[in-house]
Amino acid sequence: MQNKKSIDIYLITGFLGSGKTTLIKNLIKDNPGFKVGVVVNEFGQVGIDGSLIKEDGIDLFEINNGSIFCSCLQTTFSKALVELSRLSVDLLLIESSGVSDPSNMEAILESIKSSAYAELKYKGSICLVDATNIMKLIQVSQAVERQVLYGDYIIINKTDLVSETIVNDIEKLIREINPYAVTKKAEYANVQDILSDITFIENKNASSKESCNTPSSRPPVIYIKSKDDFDKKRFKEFVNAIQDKAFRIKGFFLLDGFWHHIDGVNQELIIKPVNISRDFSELIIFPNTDERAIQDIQKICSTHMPDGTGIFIKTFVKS
Amino acid sequence: MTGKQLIYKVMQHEKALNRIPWVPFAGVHAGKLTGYNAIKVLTDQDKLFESLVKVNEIYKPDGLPIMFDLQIEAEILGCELMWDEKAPPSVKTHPLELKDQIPDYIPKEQDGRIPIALNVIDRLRKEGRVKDTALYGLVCGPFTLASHLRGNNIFMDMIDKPEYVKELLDYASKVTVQMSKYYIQAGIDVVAVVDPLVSQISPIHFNEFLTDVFKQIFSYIRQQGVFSSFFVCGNATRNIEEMCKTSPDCISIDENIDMVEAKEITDKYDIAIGGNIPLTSIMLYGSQQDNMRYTVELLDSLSYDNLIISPGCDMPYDIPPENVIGVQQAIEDTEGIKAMLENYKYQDEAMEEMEIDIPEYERLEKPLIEIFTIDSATCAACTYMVDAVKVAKEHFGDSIDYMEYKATNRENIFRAKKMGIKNLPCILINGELKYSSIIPDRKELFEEIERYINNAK
Repeated sequence: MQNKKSIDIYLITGFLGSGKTTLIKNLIKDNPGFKVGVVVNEFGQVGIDGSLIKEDGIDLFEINNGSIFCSCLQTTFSKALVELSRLSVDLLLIESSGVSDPSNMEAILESIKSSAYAELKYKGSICLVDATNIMKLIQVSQAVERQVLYGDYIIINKTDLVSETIVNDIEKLIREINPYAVTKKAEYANVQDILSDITFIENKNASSKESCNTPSSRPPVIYIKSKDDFDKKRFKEFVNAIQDKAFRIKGFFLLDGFWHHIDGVNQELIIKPVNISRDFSELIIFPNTDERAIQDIQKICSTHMPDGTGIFIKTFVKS
Repeated sequence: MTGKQLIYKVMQHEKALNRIPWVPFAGVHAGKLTGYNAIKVLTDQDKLFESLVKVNEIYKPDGLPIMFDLQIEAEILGCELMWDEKAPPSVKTHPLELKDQIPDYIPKEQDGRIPIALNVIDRLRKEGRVKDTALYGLVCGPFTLASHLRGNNIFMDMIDKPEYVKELLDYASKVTVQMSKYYIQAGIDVVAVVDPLVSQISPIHFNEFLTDVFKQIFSYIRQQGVFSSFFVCGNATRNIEEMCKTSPDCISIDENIDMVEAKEITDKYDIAIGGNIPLTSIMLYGSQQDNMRYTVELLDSLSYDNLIISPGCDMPYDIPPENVIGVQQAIEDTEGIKAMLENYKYQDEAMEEMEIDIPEYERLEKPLIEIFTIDSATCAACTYMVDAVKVAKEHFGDSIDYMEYKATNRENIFRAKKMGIKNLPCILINGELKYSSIIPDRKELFEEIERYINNAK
């Protein structure tokens, strides 16, 4: 079989008007060496009927039917991604809807792995927050809160329109919600070197304890790798035991012979079967930032996971 | 007990029923069974009727939604729609996007596509084969309708203009109630209030803006003597409890919610729960066995009272019908399917040992029709497949032979595997796969058989 080319995928989240389109334009301008494809999806704001058009040398694909992460529309989205993987693009920017939930992205990509024409590599989600309204919006919209929770790289945009105190408050709030994301401040969504800085933890081979190119402020994560089929009930017990000590848990695990996608934050953890096939199970646990969390989780891992399961702790060091 | 009676019992929270009801959400997917696209199914009452009769026949549902389209009301109220051949339409324009107004128009019975739904309900009620199935009338929930009209601004409005939002929701709920009334008068059994956008707001805001609105809607439906179901889409985990407090008879959730956890909450309120076979990963992309297995696992993880099994949401158009049949069968005969899956699991090793004779088709004197079924005694689609062939046998008499292979028998699973058959039920003629899942009509099947008879001569 021919080697598949690879396409890096970035998800761009943020509420309507937060500056997603501006960011996309900046990203294209700042990365002239890359051929960029863009998937646009605005809840209820659609222009072109799912057709592929060319604009300024960019492959632009619009998806209709509202939020791509509503389960009713995942089908449309995953089919579109398969089609897009035919294109000769190096990276794909997915502008997700103002009200969409980013937590399904990895499962979607995993499920279309075999049908896609290119290897689709998810690099992470870039979340834009609008400094002028985020403090209000985050109270009312679960979707916006989730975008911040699941964001790998968060841009506080439009900082020129509010006072410094407000910007500081926003920064503090975002840190509280998601201590793992890199946070930047910007005007007109203008941030340099995003793509090289993005700190999404790729599911690399567990044994490679390489450091990632990320700020040192980022806390360590615990990484579990296993080749075994695991008992679903026991796995749930394990997850329940660590849940209140972890900020986020995500990965894919073989449970009772069935592959499951695990993703969640705090009390909201979903373990659901996905129709995929992988070589091994992987789980990444982002511990709470208090000192004891890592030790507690480690302890639970060693008592609940069978011998031979790889448990690694990755720390991120600024290079 | 008929499917309809079963749905009634679950909605009345009766315990220890002898089986679990099944409500497949075949909206646009209904057209897949009859060869009509989504636009046809949602705009042509004859085609919709024909497709729903087919859904009822093949998927053997206990409950049947009439039109899974949340845009019917919005279209009447001035939203432009964008149509798609394989999905329900989506709202393209929001009439209130730039003006803080409250409309006063309430859709009338003859407006837009309402008559399509009402006429089809009437015909289904009179159609003998569907009269034992509970009919679900789907209405757009007030929050989703308000957002259709107002657009995404509604989220900021909840902070900046809460009084406006409340007024708009009050109006939208009047539309919901009126639509419910039309459906109830037409004879539906369950009003499903579908409000996917509920998953997008916090419990605090649900409580502030939606609790009273939904309470009134469900109270109205109850007073009319029919049942209600609250459909949500997306990750509404945090709102399940708030939804329960509005007192619907049932809550229906999709795959973004852990059904085990959600059921603990709904059980506390003695409300039925429906869900949540994943639409894309399992139903669309999975195999028939994946679907059976997922369903069996889901059933194993839940307590059986107050339970309805459904797809998470409106089924994608292209879901292979055999997958839906697989789900239905796993609910109908859970233990039988478990045994069957075990047989599949061990097939590779055991097949080595078992001798399976595949006929030498090219040497046959007359056409051989082989029907591979899950089990024609329990699986509706399988029964129809076998019946179709029996009718042919009666017609052609000695000029054809036929055989049924039920997957409940291990040897038959190996036979199917050896012949490369992945989905059940299906019909083969002389070893060639002819019909999978969808039952051929008499004319179609007869012509095909005649072709084989003529070739054999």
